[in-house]
Amino acid sequence: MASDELTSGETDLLNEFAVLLADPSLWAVPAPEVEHRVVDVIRAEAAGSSTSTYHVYNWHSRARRWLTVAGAVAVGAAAATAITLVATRDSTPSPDSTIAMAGTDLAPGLVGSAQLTVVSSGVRISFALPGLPRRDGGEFYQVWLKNCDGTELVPAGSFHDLDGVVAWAGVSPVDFPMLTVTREAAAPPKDPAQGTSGEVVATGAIASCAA
Amino acid sequence: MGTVLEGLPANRLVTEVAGPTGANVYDHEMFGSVALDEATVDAFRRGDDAAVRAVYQQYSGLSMAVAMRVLGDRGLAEESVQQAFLQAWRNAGAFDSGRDLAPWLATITRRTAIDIQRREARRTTSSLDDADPTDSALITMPPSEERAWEAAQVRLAIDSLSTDEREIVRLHHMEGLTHQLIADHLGIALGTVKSRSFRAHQRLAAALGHLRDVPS
Repeated sequence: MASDELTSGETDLLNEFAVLLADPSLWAVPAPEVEHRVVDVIRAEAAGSSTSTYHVYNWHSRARRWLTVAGAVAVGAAAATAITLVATRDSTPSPDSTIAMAGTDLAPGLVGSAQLTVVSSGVRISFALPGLPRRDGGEFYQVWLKNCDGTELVPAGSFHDLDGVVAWAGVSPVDFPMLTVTREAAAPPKDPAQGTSGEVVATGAIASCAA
Repeated sequence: MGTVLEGLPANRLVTEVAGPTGANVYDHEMFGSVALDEATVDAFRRGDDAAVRAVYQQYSGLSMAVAMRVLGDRGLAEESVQQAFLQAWRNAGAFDSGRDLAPWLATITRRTAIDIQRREARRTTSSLDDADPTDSALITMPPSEERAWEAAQVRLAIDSLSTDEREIVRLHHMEGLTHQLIADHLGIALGTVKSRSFRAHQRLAAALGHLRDVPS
């Protein structure tokens, strides 16, 4: 028997697990943000935070259930009328909330969600927007937080797509309660200052802007 | 069930699961995964970020494999993994830091996964008359604890391989590639693939040998 050949016993044993070894679910790896959530929620509980339960949502099944609701409101411009906040009952964002995201005319029918977690370093925003087509070649999506009258914008990250990505913002969602996603291009002369293109593809309301 | 491989560490875990006809006792012999040191486990108990990350990185694969076995849905499985680690931390005070966390985490994960499965079943209610007769949810039960353990063990064995070895095993079994195709895919020599594959499968066989029934 060559030295680099398995014994018959080893081969027989591995054959018993062939089906399991071929099963993709055996090889599945949690998304990177799961680790961050585990660390954050344990840290919060260890510190005696009032956030004793951590709202974990199945983003995809909830996105499907929101389809009918989002379909009624998924039109209009960037300065949207506040979309009903899903996870809180008042205008103040809770330490962790999930909000509905809806497409504009540039992304009709788009539905998804964003999960927000307020931590000491800022606001972490975990997106589930599977319907946005990937942008490459110097084109990308930009996430923004915006104040209610739309006069102040805070960038929160640029991405190829918005499904399963995490954005960060260093401002309070109380002061900047509107969440928008624009499509952008990096190369001048279109946008030499790299500000917003104004081409909003999706919006969400962290809290109500109603007077 | 299985044998303790000579010279290799083993952890014994006896669990009791309530069944329809009374309690079923499972006596597990697990191939010893590389257990974290006691200092790390103690730091995990305190909620130390680095220790939490270390525990998560060591066992998240195992937890995900068990959760996927029960739930079959990535999003729900990730939720189960998160809940499992949180519950593990909440109950870490009752855990002996000298023991391997793997069997304990696998048990917790299976329970959280079953809880989620039941929650999702309650959420989606519809008439049976509307159900697709081929829908597996109509006839499937949560996998037995034995099946969940098996998945956990195989995943632990896989995770114990080096990155190179694990990738070759994955390409071979999950993607169905031959050694030549693996070599082409990875851009390495065929001989390198063969030697890595041999080492990887030899290690897997050693790791999983205790799961085979011992002939009487």
